[in-house]
Amino acid sequence: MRTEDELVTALREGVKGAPESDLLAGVTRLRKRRARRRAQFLAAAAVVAVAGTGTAVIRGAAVDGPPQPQGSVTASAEVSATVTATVTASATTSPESVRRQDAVAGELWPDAVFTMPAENSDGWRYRPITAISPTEVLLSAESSFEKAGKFEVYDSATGTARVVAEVPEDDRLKRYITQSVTVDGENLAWYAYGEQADGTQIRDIWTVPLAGGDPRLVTSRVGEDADLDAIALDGDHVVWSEVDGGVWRHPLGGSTPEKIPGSDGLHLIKWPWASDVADLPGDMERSQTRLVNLEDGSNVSVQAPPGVERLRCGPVWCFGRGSDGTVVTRVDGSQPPRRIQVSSGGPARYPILDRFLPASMAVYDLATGKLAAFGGTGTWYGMGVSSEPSAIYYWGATKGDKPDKFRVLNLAAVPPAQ
Amino acid sequence: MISGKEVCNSRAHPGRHGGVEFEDFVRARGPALLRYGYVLTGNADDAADLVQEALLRLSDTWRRVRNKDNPESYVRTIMARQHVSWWRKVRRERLTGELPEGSYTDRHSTGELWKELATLPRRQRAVLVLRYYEDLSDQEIATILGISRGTVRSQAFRALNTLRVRPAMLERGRA
Repeated sequence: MRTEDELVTALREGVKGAPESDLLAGVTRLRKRRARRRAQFLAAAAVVAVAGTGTAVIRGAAVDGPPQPQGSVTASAEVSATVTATVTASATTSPESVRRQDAVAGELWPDAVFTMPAENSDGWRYRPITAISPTEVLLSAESSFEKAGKFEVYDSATGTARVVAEVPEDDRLKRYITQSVTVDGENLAWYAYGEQADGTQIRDIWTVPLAGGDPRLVTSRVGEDADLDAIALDGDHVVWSEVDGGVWRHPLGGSTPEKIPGSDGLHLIKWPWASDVADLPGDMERSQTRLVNLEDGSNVSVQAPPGVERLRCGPVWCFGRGSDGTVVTRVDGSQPPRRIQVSSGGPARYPILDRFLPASMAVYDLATGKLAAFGGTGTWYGMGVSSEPSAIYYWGATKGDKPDKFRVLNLAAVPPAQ
Repeated sequence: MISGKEVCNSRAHPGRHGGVEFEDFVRARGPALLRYGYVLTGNADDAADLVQEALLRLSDTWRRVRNKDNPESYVRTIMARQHVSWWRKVRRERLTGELPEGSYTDRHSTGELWKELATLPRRQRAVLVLRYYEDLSDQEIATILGISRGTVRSQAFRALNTLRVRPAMLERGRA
């Protein structure tokens, strides 16, 4: 059998055979051909229509095709020059190399790995979300496939689960799904996707005290404001960012959201931190350039080392992809870039808890340089599904896709680095 | 690499992408889009066709997209959807020089796997590309392709099975 890493390598190596092509010329040719075909088609249609209406001439005149963009050709020179310069610079990186040290998470951090049931008392499958404390894990229990029915908290110290809330449904909306969840010490907040009868999208933002209670609908976002990409809690406010950038806050007890000043183009990582890159297709090659603290307005510029793509920075660490593995730097520049021999496993957005990087079936501890493998007998693992980087990894305690019990790694329970 | 957003920001007034012309975007991001097209299709001609079709659609909505959205993400989403839903068997006029297929595969140990990717149904390949090349979570892939998260997972599972890749991660949240 092959590994997922080999697949990632095959894709990245394979793409080197990509063609070069004059796309602008190609698009222009394509447009002309479309316009011509359309003209022929409409002309043929017009012949039929002429007999009856006489409006065909007007329709025939409207077949020039979509408007040609009127670009300024000269202005593009600086853009091309920048691209060339960046690509050339990539050959000069020689980050310090760090060897991987394998250990099994359960042996390295015995207090951080535990076993818990994979189903709640109703027989609904658990989907871990993130850690609330070194012993508490927030879970969604799914009444049917991928439908959150209840939010629960499992306490590994007592081995018991408690219900925080039942997830409300809205029968007036189609395709109503709980999408993204966040938690702080006091409250839980999430947004749900739905579609109104006329097909417009709606996003409901809900909150409930972690101690338990009835969920409260904070606000509904519709139309252009409905594309959310992250959610967070800031004490008595719920905060979210939009796919197009921009961060909003809404008092838990209030009625009006406000856009956080200076948040244009920003996307939440984890309150109060925001980044200038979104999680969208095409991000693989895009590097973060700003890290903003939305609470005090401080703004740190970050720059990918030469040859490093997709730089992502939390408040302490940055990491990106070098030509030969992951490259790690510190936001404050206090250490030179170093290369670590782990391949990022999964959609590695930002460092977890300012300390850990996801690796393939393992997690890398930036503070100690240790790689902790999940081990276990299963052939799969899962990552918590919170809006902020989740502190929970889990895998089957026994083989198969639907084990009775999960083994859970709670990164919030990993002791501080010595 | 320079990003679409950086290009846009370099002359951004009044909007985030304001003032950026379609041609500038294509010149700056074209090579990356071709790579994406190539990894989706596995074929140089299809890659160029896919990118050009998507760019044609982008140019029609450029004025709206450049001010509001992330144009690159928009194009890549179009490409992924188009690749899955639509394909023309009849080759149109060639816009690129022919590249020898598989010229790289002989030199790399993972070349065999790259070749085998060509045997997958388009949707399965798209799911793998979005997961392992674009590094998107299953939820994001579901949104892009307009399918459920469960379908993403089952398509990925089948594709990995065909390629004899051991699926390590069943669930891919946002980390």
